[in-house]
Amino acid sequence: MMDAQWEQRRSSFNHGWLKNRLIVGLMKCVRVARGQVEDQDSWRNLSCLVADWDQMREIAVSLVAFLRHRVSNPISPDQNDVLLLGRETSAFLLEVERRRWLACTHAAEKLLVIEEALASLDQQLQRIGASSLPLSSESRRRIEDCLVAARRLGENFSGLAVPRDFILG
Amino acid sequence: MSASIAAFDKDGDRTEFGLYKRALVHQLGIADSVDKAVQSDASCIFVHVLDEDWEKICEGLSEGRVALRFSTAGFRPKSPEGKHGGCFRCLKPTKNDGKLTHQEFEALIRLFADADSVGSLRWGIIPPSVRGLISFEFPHRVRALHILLQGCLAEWASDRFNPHAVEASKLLGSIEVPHYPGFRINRAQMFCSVLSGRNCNLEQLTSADKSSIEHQTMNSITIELGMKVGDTDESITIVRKLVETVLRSDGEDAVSWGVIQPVFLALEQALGNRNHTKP
Repeated sequence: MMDAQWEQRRSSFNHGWLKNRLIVGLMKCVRVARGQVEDQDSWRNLSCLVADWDQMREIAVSLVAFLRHRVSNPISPDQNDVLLLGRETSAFLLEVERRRWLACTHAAEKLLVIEEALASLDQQLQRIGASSLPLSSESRRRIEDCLVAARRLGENFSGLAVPRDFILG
Repeated sequence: MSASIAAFDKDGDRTEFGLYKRALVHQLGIADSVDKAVQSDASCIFVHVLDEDWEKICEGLSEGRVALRFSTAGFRPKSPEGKHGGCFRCLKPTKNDGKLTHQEFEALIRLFADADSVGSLRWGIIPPSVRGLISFEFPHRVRALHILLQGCLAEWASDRFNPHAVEASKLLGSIEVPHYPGFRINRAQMFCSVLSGRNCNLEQLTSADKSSIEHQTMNSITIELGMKVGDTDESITIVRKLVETVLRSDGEDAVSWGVIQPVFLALEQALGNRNHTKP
């Protein structure tokens, strides 16, 4: 039952890390860089988040790979469903479910946006990681670009599910 | 609208669908911190918070008070939480696909402003007005049944000689239907397997077996739909007709369009967008 695991990991990455930590950290840095607020820890906090990125990127890449697989391939039926309904019937039912999922969620289109946003976020975070204080205007611009990419990724990951991969399971 | 509900939004989100803005529109009290929300005299608090603050609410909310947690991604069904069982989660996200509508938010306000309704909720009864917004049970059986119904519609949609082909295709969202020639042969048997959750031969079931399957199926579907066993509701009546038809069928054609289509519509509504989107 990979769908439930994927959803847990997506929620934990998207909500737990990307939205509630990285985007919040980037927003703080942007406000500090614009002189709107003073927060001496903002850059240090962001550096810690950037240091987490290698690990978080691995999670994001695996989430995207699984999503891509679901967008492009029929689901192999669960063994219990095969015993109960037969392989051909189970595969048919899951394929109808998958195609409805594709139509209802626009998953294929979202996947393209997610891939693009992830690549952009990766590039920007790598560059930010190489920056140091005091931040140059180029570094500040990168932080803003990074925030745009992170928000885009978060928005498109939000509420997205993969199709159910079992009937009775 | 109600002075007995206070809201706290960690993001102070003033965009149209943010909790803060929704709370302002409906004239709910606004708390500017989790602690103030917990300590307020509001009988109910609506919150958009991080996990650690939700734990604080679950631990700190006094008996008799309730909390409803919102998220921009929505939540999965979960039993009431908190020291006194008064903490609930909203299934629908406040933003993005399948977001909570303004009417649904109003339905939640009406529910949580009414002590009797909140009392029922604490006993595990989900009022019809908020079905699909709060749930304690993951609808495994309802979703299995829904998948099978989709298969029946797909079969009809792919048969251009079937009088219901066009309507079936529309109900499925005009998807390209995969080909499966042998589906119709065992339709009643497949429903029997999905309803009973086991591999049983419909023709060999005794009356007692059928009665037991019907009883268990209806109980679990009723609970999964957020109702109390014994409740009667239009969707339950429709599902019961399908169950009875399957278990009393003496031929394939008994499980017909007239039986299947209303159940499909009822379950689509019950599952709503959450059938394809999740927290």
